[in-house]
Amino acid sequence: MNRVLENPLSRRRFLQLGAAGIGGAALAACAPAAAPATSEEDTMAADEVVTISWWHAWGGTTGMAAMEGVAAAFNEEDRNVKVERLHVTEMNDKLLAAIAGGTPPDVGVCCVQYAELYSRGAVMAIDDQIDSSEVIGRDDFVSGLLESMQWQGATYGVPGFEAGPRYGLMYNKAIVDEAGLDPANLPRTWDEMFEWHVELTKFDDAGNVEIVGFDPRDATAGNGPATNIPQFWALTYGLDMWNDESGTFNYDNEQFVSALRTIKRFTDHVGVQQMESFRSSFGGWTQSPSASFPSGVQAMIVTGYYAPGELTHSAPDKEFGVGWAPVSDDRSDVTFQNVGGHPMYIPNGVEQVDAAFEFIEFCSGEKAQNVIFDNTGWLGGRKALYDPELPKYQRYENLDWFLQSVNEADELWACPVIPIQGFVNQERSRTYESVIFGDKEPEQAAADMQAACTEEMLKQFPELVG
Amino acid sequence: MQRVQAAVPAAATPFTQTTPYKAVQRALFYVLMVVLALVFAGPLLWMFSTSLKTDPQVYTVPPIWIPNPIRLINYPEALSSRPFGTYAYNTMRYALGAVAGALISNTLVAYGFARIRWPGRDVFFIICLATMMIPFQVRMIPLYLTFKNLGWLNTYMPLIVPTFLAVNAYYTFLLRQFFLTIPSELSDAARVDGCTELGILVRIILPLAKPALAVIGLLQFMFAWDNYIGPLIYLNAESLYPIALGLQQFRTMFQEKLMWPYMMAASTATVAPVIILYFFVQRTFVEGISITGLKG
Amino acid sequence: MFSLRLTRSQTRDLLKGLAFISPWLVGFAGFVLYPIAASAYYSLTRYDVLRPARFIGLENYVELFVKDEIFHTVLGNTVYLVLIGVPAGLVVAFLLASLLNREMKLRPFFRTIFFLPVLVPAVASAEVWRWVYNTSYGVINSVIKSWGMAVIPFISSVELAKPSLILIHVWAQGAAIVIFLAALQDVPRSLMDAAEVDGANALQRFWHVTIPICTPAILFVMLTGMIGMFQYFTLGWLLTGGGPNESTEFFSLYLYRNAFQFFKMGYASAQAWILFVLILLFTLLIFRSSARWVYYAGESD
Repeated sequence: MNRVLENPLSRRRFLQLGAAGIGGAALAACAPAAAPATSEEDTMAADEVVTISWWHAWGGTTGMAAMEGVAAAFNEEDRNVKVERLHVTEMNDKLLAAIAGGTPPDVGVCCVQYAELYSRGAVMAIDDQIDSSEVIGRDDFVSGLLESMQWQGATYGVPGFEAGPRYGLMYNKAIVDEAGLDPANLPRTWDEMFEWHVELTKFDDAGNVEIVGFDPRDATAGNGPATNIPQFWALTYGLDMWNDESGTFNYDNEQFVSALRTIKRFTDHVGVQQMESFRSSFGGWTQSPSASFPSGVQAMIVTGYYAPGELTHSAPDKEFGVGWAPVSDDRSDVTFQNVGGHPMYIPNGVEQVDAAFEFIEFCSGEKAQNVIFDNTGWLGGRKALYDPELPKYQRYENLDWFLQSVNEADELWACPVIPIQGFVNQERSRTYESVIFGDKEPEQAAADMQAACTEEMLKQFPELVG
Repeated sequence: MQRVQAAVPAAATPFTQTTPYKAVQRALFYVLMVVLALVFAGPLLWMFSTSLKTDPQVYTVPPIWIPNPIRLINYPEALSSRPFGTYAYNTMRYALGAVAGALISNTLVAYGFARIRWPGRDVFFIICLATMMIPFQVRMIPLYLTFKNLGWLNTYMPLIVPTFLAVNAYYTFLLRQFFLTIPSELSDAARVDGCTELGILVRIILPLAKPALAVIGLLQFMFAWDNYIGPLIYLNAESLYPIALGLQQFRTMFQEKLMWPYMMAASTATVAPVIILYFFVQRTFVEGISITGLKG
Repeated sequence: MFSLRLTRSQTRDLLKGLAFISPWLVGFAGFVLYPIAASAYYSLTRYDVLRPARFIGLENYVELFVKDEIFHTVLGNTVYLVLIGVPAGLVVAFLLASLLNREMKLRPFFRTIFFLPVLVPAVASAEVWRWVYNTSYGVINSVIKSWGMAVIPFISSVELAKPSLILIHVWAQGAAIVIFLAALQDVPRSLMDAAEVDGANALQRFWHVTIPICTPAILFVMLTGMIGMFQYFTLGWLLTGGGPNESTEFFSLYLYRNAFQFFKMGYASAQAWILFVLILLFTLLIFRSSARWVYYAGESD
């Protein structure tokens, strides 16, 4: 189940809890009882320096600067632990080989399918380390983030580098103004959203699409981070698509069918072939300079906390606004937000666990998170840094909205941890395409997706389904 | 681009004394070649042009071919952002080792498959070919375990040693095909003269197979130069990384400013040595040198 | 095959042959046999790499053949790619190599140009072609749009996506071109001259002299091209990612997804072995036929 953290608490109630600092304590109650700290195995001499290996997948010049900056900041400190950084461009392939060969890194972060690793015992549960830590505590993090790194009651990761709220409806101010729409009155439901979509979509005389109002694939950054893609559409309809107590899915129902109908409706208005061409011409990561939104040919997308920083780089000449993601008609008074991100984890088989955890503590701390933000504009998971008043956040327009949204949303959801996430993602895109290309009716597609995911779960985790 | 167009009139002049029909034919031939050349060179020109652009110029509509301003500094900036000197040194050592390995081992093995008749040869050859037919993705992890048990991780041994053992059947097969085109009378005559098989290989076959050897050297060099997945899996230190992994470091953050100009500058710089190598290799393709007169 | 009834000279030849191929024998035993055997075993198991493999007999194979609809689509897509792409690439490479083998001004320059596409790193080449095929501002479609016509959805339509990928393949024939260039050096000048004296025109000389002499190289390019095409991966992965609507989901893409995204290494291994049998069948078929059309000067006894 995706924990609905604060629902049905009212917004005010939630803010009070947060201010009193007991929101985190309530969360900690969900975690298994903390075991006493054990440091007996820590037998190394005090002055002996331990070197740990750390693999990350982020590159580029700013990304590398951030990673190198974090490693340097850690190594400069007076510690017995030093870190050796390695940039790995295809983490899935390398990590699987390394784990199979018993030669994993001491710490890993980004970009693999974490849920698959947690559920298959490839990564260590680090609840003991977290609970005995003097540096980090469970309530240091934005609500829901640690939960998105838990499996069967145990915690496998700590939000270190990049984690935060992921759903905001961003729009291009110029296109919206030109269409005479009122940004102060953003669409709240999918029906209203469709009206905007119709108003904003433009064709040339030959019928070629020039501007798309909203491509449903660009909800949650399209083909972006794989951790929560299948969830967005379900959530807008208030549907919890995964139950992790029974290991079952919830796709075969009226809400998900409605979501698929909505997707088809948005696509049909543009025409499926035109929409596919549009995607292929302007696809990829929604904030990249060649993508539709920064290029000014898509009016609206749904995207996350990383967008404000990235858009100032990729579309410096354009202005954008942000508001709550749309919902189904019956939920028009509900605002919802979802958090998730990249965990730092310790693979099983690592010997220098304490040293590895020391580095994780450092990365989830303010010093490291400031290095990362200064280089890349990414948020980490540390709650104390989610203060919209902090001057550094003024660098990026709309970022304050994302920071505030985690406190203001009626519903705050955590990214689900599905042990067959990769398979579910593929089923989602098959389902999506079979509906927009008209190969299947939404009812049939939803039922097929339910059947395929259930069968796969039974194959890979028969002991968990019940 | 200008060079190509300039080539047309220059090339047409020597044919003025031939018949007008032939001259027209010649001219048409060159027009065809130039048009084709533009189509084939287009992407590389785009790569080169992008490598000199500022970021906003990359995505302009319509595209800009000649950047303004020309941002030469992309090259030093891109190449100094990572230790490309180290990467180039690593790659060169790897590529030269692999080329030596591929040439020596495949020459021997292809000779065994092509120029000696022995019982079971064809079965062994089919097995050799069959090793190309199992995708790397499912062999990768067992192979990793093999190299781990040999203690070769984090070295270039997993990448170079197999080339000395003719593990890539592609080159064996290619050389075999070329060895088979050399008339058997040549080796028969040498055998009668008391030449050993190794002697025949070195003295008769290899000189005739020069173009084929050049092709194998070139292709193996290119493969090593580009190889990405092998170094990725086996190497655990950036000081050991080859250029191909260095290039990928620009790709893994899509939203970034100047990513494409840097990527293309690094790509262009990477491709340049291979173009130079190719230029020398193609000189061995001089019509009819190898067997001219042998059968006449 | 290895009966003990070998004559002394056969035994000597056998030992000689084995001696020459011994580097490969060592490499095969050391680096090839175990990974292949392991993948064969995995294909009979449920194996996610992270947990121990569980033996399930032929279940993976049964599922692939009987139930997996994507796999059937993938098979069709892949065979299409091989049947159209390999001959197209081969013909274009051979024609270009023949052109480049002629006497001409600036020959090294032209030879370099036609070889270039294969040198462009895949990531860069994917980006160039994305731009060429782009329906909004691509080189072709921006012209079409300026004429007020509907754009051509090259890689975004189910019908055109595969042909568009094949076109890229045909463009990047550098390796085949150099192989053919090397092979064309084996065409004896004297033979060509003799044919010309006999009154054969250029086309006849090409057909009756040039091509037969190059058949060993043609066989090589055809076979390795076929093997490579069955494992086509990079540009499909970078450019279309299997879409639209699974029209470019090829064997290796689906295999990779299963192995590394769905954590089904056992299932992926079963696919690999089906692919192996498929390629082997094509290979044997081509080899069988090659006796009729491949000419080896070295086998003329």
